[in-house]
Amino acid sequence: MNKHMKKVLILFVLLIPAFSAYAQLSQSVSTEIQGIVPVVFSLGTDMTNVETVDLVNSNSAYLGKVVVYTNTKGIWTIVINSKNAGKLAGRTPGNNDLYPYFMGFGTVDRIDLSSDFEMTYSTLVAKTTVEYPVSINYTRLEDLQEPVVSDTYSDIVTITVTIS
Amino acid sequence: MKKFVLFAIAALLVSAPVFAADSSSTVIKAVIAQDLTITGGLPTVPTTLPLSGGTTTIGTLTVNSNLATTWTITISSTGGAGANKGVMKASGVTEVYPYTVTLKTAGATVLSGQLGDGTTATPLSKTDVLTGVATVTYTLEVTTAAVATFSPALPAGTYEDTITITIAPNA
Repeated sequence: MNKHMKKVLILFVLLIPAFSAYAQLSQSVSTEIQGIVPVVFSLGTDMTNVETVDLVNSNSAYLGKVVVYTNTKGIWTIVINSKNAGKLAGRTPGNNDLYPYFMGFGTVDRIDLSSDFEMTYSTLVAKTTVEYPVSINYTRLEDLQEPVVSDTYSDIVTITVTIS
Repeated sequence: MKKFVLFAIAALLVSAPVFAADSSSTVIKAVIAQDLTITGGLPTVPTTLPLSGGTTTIGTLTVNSNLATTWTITISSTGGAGANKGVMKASGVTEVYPYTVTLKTAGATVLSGQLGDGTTATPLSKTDVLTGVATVTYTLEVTTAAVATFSPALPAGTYEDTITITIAPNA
């Protein structure tokens, strides 16, 4: 092998990496983006803190509605508690008369709140808004079998919604 | 004196053909390989977009080129093994969280738009990029709507997608 042949071969070897580099020019980079939507759970109502009902002229009253919204799937547990076990109690000290009533919540009527009322609502659909109308039914004053003395009668009803 | 001159001429005539036979030449060259590479890069960890929406700068990437010809830059959605098709998706949720991307260099928009609608992927490409010997820095931005504006609302979840930027020389 003379000097000419050696030079030609070396040049050829050097060209190989150059052509290989051309074949690998395509390049990519990637990155990930994300949006985290938190669980939203809200309980609202249009009822005021004190709703006055007509015990003389009516035997029922619509109190308002409870609106529950969540953007997650789950089982709702709704618990309704009455401070006076489903009765309006005289507010004047010494007056122990009670005025019984039943509650209507959603599609359930005549709920006896002598003990906590509990219902569950299962949804497989996120983004659910459910409205529950709230009402009470009672006996008109003049129809009561056990009349009560004149007084202001009240009860505190607490509605709790839990999603699990 | 005469003898010396004759000898010198004779020597030159004889040696000239011998010198021509020994000459040789070679070519020298330097081969500069074509270079089209990405240096610097986009975040390797997920970028969390704000719930309030708006435009978020994801990051920058730098492209080095010595190509005398044009090349192509492409932005595509590759999340969910390619199933996201231009939107962010969350596990177990059918709703999607759309976004738009914008690629800029020196303040000028190179590419902008959606990479798909969740059903059909629509990668964005610019095929006639001509930079010559240059280093070009690109900025990637993502724009989303505020979560509160979705109606119906988006279910809770972590919505994700992967954005891939590819550069390739044109044939």
